[in-house]
Amino acid sequence: MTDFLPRLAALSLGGGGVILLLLAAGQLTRMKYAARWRCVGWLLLCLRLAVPVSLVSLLPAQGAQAAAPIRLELPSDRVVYTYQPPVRPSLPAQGGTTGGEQVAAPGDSAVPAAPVAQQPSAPAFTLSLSQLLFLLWLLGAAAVLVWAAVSHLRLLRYLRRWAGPVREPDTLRLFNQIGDQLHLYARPALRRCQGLQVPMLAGVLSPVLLLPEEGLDPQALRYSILHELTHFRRRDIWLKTLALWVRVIHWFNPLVWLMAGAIERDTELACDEASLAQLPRTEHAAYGRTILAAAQRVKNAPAAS
Amino acid sequence: MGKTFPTSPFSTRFSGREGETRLRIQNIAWGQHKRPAALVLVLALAAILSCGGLISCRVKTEQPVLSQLLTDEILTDDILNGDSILAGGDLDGDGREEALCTPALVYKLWPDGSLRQLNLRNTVLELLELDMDVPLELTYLPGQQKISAQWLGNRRTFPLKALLDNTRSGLILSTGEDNPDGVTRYFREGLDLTGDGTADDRILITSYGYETEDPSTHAEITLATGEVLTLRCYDRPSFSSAFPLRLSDDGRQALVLALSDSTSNYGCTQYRVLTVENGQLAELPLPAESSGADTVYGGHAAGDALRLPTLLDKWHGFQWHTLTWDEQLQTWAVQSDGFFTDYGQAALADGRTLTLELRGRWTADHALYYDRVQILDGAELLQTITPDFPADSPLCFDGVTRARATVPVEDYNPLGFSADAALHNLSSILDVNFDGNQDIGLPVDTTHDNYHLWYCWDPGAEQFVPAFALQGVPETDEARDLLIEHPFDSPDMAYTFNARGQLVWLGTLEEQPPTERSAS
Repeated sequence: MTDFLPRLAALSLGGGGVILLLLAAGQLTRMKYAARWRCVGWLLLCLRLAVPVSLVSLLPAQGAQAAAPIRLELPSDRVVYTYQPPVRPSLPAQGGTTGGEQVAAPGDSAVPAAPVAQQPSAPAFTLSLSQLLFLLWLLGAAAVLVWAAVSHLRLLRYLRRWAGPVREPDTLRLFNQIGDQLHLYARPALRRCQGLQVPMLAGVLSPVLLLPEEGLDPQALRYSILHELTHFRRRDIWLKTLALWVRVIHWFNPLVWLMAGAIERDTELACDEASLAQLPRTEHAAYGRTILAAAQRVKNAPAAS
Repeated sequence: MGKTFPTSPFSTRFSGREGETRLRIQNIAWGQHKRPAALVLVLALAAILSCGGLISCRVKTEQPVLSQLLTDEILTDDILNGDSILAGGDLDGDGREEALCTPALVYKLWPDGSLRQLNLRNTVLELLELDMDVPLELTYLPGQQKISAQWLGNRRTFPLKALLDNTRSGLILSTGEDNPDGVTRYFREGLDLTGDGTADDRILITSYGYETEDPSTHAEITLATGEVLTLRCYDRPSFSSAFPLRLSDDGRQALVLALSDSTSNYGCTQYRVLTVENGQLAELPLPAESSGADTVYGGHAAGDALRLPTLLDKWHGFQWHTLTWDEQLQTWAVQSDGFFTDYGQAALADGRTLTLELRGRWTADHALYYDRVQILDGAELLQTITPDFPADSPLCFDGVTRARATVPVEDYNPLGFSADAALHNLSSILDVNFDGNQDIGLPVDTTHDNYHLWYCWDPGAEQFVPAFALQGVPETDEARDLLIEHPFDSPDMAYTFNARGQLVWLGTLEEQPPTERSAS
């Protein structure tokens, strides 16, 4: 445990530097290179950060220390809290006691009291700085995990109540047609959901493509299904899940949260690029207008309608 | 509907926030990106793989306080002898704590957290280029922070800081990590085994005791380049040490390992001379006469030569051999002293202490004798006594006394003063004439009579003069001014001295009255 936190800190700090590097590189080269390359970069970085063990640290300890160009010294591990259970006094077993009470001889008030025996004290509970920090890290990681789980459970509960199957043949035909176009042998379930403004794909193990209750025009519906099925084909939710796991481990590192936002953005851009590759160039403007309309719909939607 | 659509991290939405939408529209407007990003991706991959090793975080370990490490286990009674630490703190100004526990032993915390024992006596011997068997006494001068070294009547003081600066070797007592039983570690730093002038090479000799799985001794030489050369240097546990030896003018040093067998009761030591040749260890095998079972601990470098001691027996000093390396012949040239030296000290009434240097030799059948005794006052040679037999007994009062106190001619050891420790004391130093000066009795007889020739101190002549001979080693009875002789085949005899300092035989000890008496 005492080794874990320094290694995690080292990995997180090094990873933070690489995040900044990738963000800067992405910003400078986004007109040259497709967003999918950035997604590949984020995937590799997430895989690295998801395992909080330094590869160099697998070498002998001295070698690891010597290999790192930047060496930081953390505060020494010291005891920050000690709890000593109170000592329970007990009377001596022999001499001057009867039935547990001390008895003084008549007229013998000058006799000194028998010494009070001390029971062996229970071992003290101590908390070191490293243990405290480890507990804090565990709490933070658990909080992020619980937040993600609660969010998803809320969505699942909502869907159980408000989502229903799509029955329109045209929509089903379109869904299958686009699935065939994308060579998808396994496809997400298709459902329609009340309160949803724009189409979305949700779920890791049993993904479902959700369409809004209010009817989209056929072109917007086609582009939306194409976009979400492309997400499905690219397994973007798996990447987001991996990014979530990295946030669970490196929750204390704001750069990791920044990376999660960048992954969200770049997966959308990469998905758009892949979707547009399925469309003739003449339809690209219409696809863009659909995105704008959807954004408008989201913006106009009441916070609690 | 009165409900908010929940969000989940495991979902993607067709359209999101305003900024993101703007980026997506821009990206669509830029069209297809044809350029492959393989090179950038490789660079990114390199950065990603290295991110775990870019930074290392090490928990700062609290440096233990030296006094906490100096446990009773380390500071045995032998070391402390009931005294407290002579000097403590940063004695050499290097920022690290030291504790001087005896005038010869310093304990020091190393930057790696280990506790090391430095032996100042070895440093003084090296600085003074003295042989190991020279009697050397160190004294700490607390007011001056100096160590006074006294040997054979000589005296020299060294600043403690200078001695510490010159002490580059010692024992590693605890490593700050695990200290397995039966493992002893010796270190020496400041070596220049490659001749690069840096003196940054070092050696660690680890001895694994009989309680370990592989009882043996291993050397680990770390060069300034970081290269580590290892050698299983002895197949048994040992008390080990090492010292440099200059063999050539290029500054490159050879390394002499002194591996003393841990089970030997006389310090049997194997020496190995190693050099570093092209990054490899090479050994210069020592000749047989200086690598046998009689070779003992105490070898050292003297200039370009190697001085190695052999032991005749436990009562006598070493016989020293001087070895010089012949580069052309690639062999050692050995020059043996052919003698050993024993030492004694005689205190004078004026406060001086004279040193006796007894040069000993031996015959083929191992008869030991002294052929020369030198009397030194400090470094000054006062007198040389040689076995010129038969010797007179001039300090006898009368003929009867002279007859008793003269060695029969047939008793004399023809070789010289006897150095046979099995027969008698090698030299007896005793104030036999009650003048406050210690006198010297040298055995001259290997028969059962065991005559010792006594040389008494003559303050006027500043010499020991031949005085008389007595059997055995006499006792003095200061209360009665009696000198008591223990003859081999007769009762104890009593002698005294007259006013002129002459020996007077009184008769048997039994005949002497118990009260104090004066010389007639």
